[in-house]
Amino acid sequence: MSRLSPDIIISLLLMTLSAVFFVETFGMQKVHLAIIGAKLWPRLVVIVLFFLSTLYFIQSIRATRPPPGAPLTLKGWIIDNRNVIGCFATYALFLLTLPYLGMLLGGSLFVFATLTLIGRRDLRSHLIHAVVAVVTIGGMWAMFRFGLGVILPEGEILPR
Amino acid sequence: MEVLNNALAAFAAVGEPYTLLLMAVGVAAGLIAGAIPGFTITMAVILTLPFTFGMDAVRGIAVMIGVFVGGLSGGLMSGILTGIPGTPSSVATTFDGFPMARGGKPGLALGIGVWSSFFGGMVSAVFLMVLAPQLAKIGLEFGPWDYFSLVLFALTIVASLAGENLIKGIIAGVAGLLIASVGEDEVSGLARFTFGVDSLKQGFDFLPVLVGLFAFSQLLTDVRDPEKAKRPMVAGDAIRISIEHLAAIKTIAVRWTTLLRSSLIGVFVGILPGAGGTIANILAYDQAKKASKTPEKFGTGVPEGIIAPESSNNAVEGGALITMMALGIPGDIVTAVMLGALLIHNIAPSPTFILTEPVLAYSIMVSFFISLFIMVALQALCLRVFVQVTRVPMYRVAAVILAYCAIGVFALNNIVFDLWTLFWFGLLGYAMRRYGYPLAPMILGVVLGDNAEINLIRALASDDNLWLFVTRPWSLFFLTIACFSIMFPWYQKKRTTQKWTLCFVPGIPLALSIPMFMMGGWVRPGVAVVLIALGGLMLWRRHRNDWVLPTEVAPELRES
Repeated sequence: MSRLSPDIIISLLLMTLSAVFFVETFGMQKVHLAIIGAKLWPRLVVIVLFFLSTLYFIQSIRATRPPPGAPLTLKGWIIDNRNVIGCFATYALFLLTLPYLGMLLGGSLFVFATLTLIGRRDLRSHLIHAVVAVVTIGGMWAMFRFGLGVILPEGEILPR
Repeated sequence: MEVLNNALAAFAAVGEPYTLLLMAVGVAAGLIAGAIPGFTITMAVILTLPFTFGMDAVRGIAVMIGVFVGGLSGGLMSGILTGIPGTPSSVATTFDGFPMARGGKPGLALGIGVWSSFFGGMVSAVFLMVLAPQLAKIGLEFGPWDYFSLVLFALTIVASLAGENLIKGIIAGVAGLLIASVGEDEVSGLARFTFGVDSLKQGFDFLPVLVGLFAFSQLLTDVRDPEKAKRPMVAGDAIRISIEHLAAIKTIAVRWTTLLRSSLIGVFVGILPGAGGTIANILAYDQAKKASKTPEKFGTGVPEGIIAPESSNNAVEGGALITMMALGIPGDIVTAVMLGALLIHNIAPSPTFILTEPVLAYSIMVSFFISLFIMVALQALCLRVFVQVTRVPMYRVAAVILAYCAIGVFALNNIVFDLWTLFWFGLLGYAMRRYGYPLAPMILGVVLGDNAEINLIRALASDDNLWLFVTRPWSLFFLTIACFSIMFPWYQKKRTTQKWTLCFVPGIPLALSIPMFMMGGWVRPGVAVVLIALGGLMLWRRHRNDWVLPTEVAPELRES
């Protein structure tokens, strides 16, 4: 085994998680007069998960072979997943600013930012992105607000 | 008479002009989603769910079925015209559809695809109407032991479809059960696995988990490659094609045996939990090729090569709906979403569902039936529009849909916590996809988790004898199939190299005959005798062939 494969890391993570969840089951309350407690099922599930993770760990150790090509570095991984990381980052930012910007403004900004981040970057594309963001989110916001009667977060910036 | 009354009431409910209009919008959305490579039908149905909250159950389900039927048929357009299947359930359609279109008959190829979808759906609609009530009657015999084993069977069969990643499939299923157990216990109301976080007391809502795991992660996977994300989803010149309806119907009518066989394969695959159109279309294509007098012509543009996959993948949904409506067990992820939609409307499908909610139950069947007609009409009228949508770059679609996911999820409970749930499960789903973990078992685990727990508790509370799980016939029946489904990946891997695999398939009817005998009466032991005869016959044939192992499967099917 020259280095840790993703499978080994995931199996170790799963084993740790199962252990944490198993310990948590001891903190669950008991119900008097109940024949079977609320902890039976989760404990059973966690035990099975731990057992399977252990099997997976053993299987991963046996199967470990040096991956073909150059070893993947953190920098390489980030470059490889830059679009995905960008999308998650803009989405997290959208959620964090939602109470202030609201769904209409925040959603439009999220779509525009994501389009600009992962899409083409020229003036024409920026204009298209802006139109797409405003029309699609505005349209959906209006449909939920006036069509389905669902009040989406309004935020603090736009007047109510 | 009661059946007729219920069917008429369902026709009246679904046949309202506004409902029909919404269904048409649903079918159109499904056709577009199906035509876009990388945009699965499941994702389209999941994204439709939030729009149905404000509707009554009949209308909501009708719209979702419309999206599903449209999606199944939409996949064939890009598959036939460009060779890139819009959905995995149209993979086999490209084998002959694309060569036929390239050979100068795109209108006929599309026509055969559309009408095969229609007829396949019709066959399965008939089976749905006939079989679902009968299966529900059998379901009434189930006790909690049997239900628990049925859920185990559903989870194992879904996990086993992960192939060589069986262990990952089972882990995903068990993790799904764990996710479902977070929050208040269904029986006692006690909080579990909250780790001191108040928001977790209510547990994870089904929709954000589902959207995050499936739709969110799918969109991010689609835009992972920066260059590919900026290109149009389907390249090529604009097309001007009209579907040759009459010629297509004539072509299919001559090959009605292929249509019927493939539709039956679709219905059967649909009934199996977790096995959807992806498997059915390949299996039906393979069987059509084996049954053909000119198998060597397959892959060059023969009509049977389009009829078989398209009729089977549309027939799948009827089969999947049978198990959902009769037993409350979703046949695939799409029916799992529909189950979730029904739960949102406080309706839980079970063997008594058809009895207690007859209009809704028949509305599901009727919606499926009507959607097929709408699908054909829309395909004929708007083909060019649907194909044009596929020329938009993927990144634009993905960014907008990501925002729609957030809006839809928020609309469920009006709490921001659901949006964070969507975020975290999106991360989890993406990681699972990247590292080869199947999502279907986890989703099924989340959907069926409560059901499994409640039935286990009921079983143990009424009798602590664990042997009942193997001495009750139905429970033993499901556990037996679960064992075979767990072994299925090994069987597939070794079937050309190890002799024990020759006993695997005959072993299934032989093993299932035991619980059938235990059920008593005359009919079921009679079925058991037939099963024994079937298993014996298969063994005898293998013995007559000197236990020769089968050769490799066709390369194009193996790659698929």
